Amino acid sequence: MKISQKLYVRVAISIALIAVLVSLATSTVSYFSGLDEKKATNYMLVRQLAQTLEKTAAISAYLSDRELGQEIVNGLLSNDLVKGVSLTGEANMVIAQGDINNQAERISIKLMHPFIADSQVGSLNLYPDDQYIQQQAQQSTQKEVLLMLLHSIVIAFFVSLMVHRRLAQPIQSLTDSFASIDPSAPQTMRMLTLKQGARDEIGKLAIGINSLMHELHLTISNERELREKTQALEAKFRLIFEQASAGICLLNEDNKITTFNPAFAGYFTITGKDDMATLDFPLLLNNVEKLEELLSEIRKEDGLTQITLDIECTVGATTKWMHCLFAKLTDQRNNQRDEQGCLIEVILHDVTERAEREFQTRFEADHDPLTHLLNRRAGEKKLHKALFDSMKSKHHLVLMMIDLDKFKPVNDTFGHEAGDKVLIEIARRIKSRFCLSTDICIRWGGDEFVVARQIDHFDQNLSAIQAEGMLQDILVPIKISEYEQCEIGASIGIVIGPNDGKVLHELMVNADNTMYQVKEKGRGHVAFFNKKKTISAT
Amino acid sequence: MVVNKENDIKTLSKREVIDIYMGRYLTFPNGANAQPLDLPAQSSLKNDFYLKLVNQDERKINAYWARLLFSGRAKPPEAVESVDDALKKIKISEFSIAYIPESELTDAVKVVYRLNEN
Repeated sequence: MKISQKLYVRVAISIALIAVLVSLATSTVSYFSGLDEKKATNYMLVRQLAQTLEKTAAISAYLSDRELGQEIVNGLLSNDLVKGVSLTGEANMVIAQGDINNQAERISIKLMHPFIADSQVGSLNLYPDDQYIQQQAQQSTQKEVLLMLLHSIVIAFFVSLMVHRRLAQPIQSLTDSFASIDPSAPQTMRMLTLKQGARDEIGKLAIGINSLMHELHLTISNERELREKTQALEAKFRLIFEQASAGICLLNEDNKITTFNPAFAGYFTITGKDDMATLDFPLLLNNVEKLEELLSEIRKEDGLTQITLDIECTVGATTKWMHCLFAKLTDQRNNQRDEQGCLIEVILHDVTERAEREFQTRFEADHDPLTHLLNRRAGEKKLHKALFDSMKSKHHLVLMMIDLDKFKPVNDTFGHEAGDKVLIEIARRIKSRFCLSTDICIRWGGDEFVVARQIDHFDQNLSAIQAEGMLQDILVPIKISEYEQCEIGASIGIVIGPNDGKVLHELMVNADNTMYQVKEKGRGHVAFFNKKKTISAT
Repeated sequence: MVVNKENDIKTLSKREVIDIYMGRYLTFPNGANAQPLDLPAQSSLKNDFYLKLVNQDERKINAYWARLLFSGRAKPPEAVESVDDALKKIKISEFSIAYIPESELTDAVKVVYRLNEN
């Protein structure tokens, strides 16, 4: 059975049920106790009845007056409560009438001598009508029970009526108007209808809900507005961030990439792979240690907020050049972070093409297009620097002026192309012997070359061996075509800076002179500059 | 308590006197008829007599007889006008019995019971 969900119906049913149960219980108790009580009362009544006639009965017993006795017995029997009466008296007088079988219920009164105390003259026995008494008691208790039930039902009815009026109905209307509110739609959050002047708990509840809803409505509207604005702003920023052609990323205090845009990922993802190799930013680029140093410097320096730098990086097999802008991010809320804790924004774009072009241009500007050795202008500049560095660090600069012998005939005999081939081959041989990063190899003029090397301690023998070795290299025949080859010699003049000249010009002049002296002395050997003799031949 | 000299009864017990006077028996213990005599109402002598006999005053005795009026079996003692009248009736009737003060006692009657005896 489905009991109605309505509050007042349930209250009424509960009250009625409880009332009926309680009244049934109390009725049962009162029935049994009432029965006993009624019985006791009736027995007492019977006893009192007997006592009122005791005197007269005693007289009749004393006098053995049957007529009087009979009258008394009849009088008692006429009572509904009495079922049977027996009266005994002097001279074997016995008057019995009605049902006198129930000895257990008998009420017996001793009849005393009217004139002499302590002398019994007979006895009066009354037999109460149990059935009648019981019936009587039942009737009265039944009436009581019925009244009580009626009472309970009436109370339950009125209580539920009041509950309905005062509680269920207002709550129902409150609930109905509450149900029309959709929490996801703030415009439905209007005031709850409220009975005017209701100052009870329900009224207070409605007022409370109303003020709560009002606040909530305001808050939600504000939040919504704010959220919409933020969303629009975020969409714009996201668009900028994601559509930017430049790679953008944020580094945390450990130089780990926390955020990056698609362009950034595009730069550092090897073709065919989905993800970047690492999120440790310095590891993405080639010069890891230097970059880490730079980043920590940016963090430390207060005045330094941004740095631009071209950095080389290797992604897969290709080498790229990245133009990077490092910017220290200061917190918008001006929270003073500790110096190591600030974020760094990196904006970078691929400048490989430009860098390569620049490199090429610089190379072309500095190098001889035929031999790819340094040209005279760039070479001179480098020599200046090398001499300066050597003097500063108390080193020596060994400088050799190499002039090819018998080159012109080759040019004349085999043509310019063959001459070029010879020059390229000689340059290659020189370069392979002087291949340190600090070595300087220059094509000084048509068939003149200058080679310079910085050394810690000058050892003439060692330098001589090197020069001789190079001379031997040059002397190796050069293949011009499939069938032809030629031999080229060289005259080499060596000067030691700064011993033989503290400025480059002086050094160069001395080297030139030394070399010419070698030429004059029959070519094909090596000579050191000598201040006194002007030349020292080996 | 005095009776006619001719009466066979020599002596009566208090219970027998009560039975006769309160109407239980209409005879003496020996079966002879008994006619009790009562002194005038509201006399101190009568009152004293009943007080001494059954420890009840005259009013209660009257009430007792009133109760028995309708059944009619027992009859109250016959009332006489005075002690002398009572003595006169006893002299002529051998069934009569009466109570008199000791001072009025004569030889013409026989004492069967003295109320002072107990």
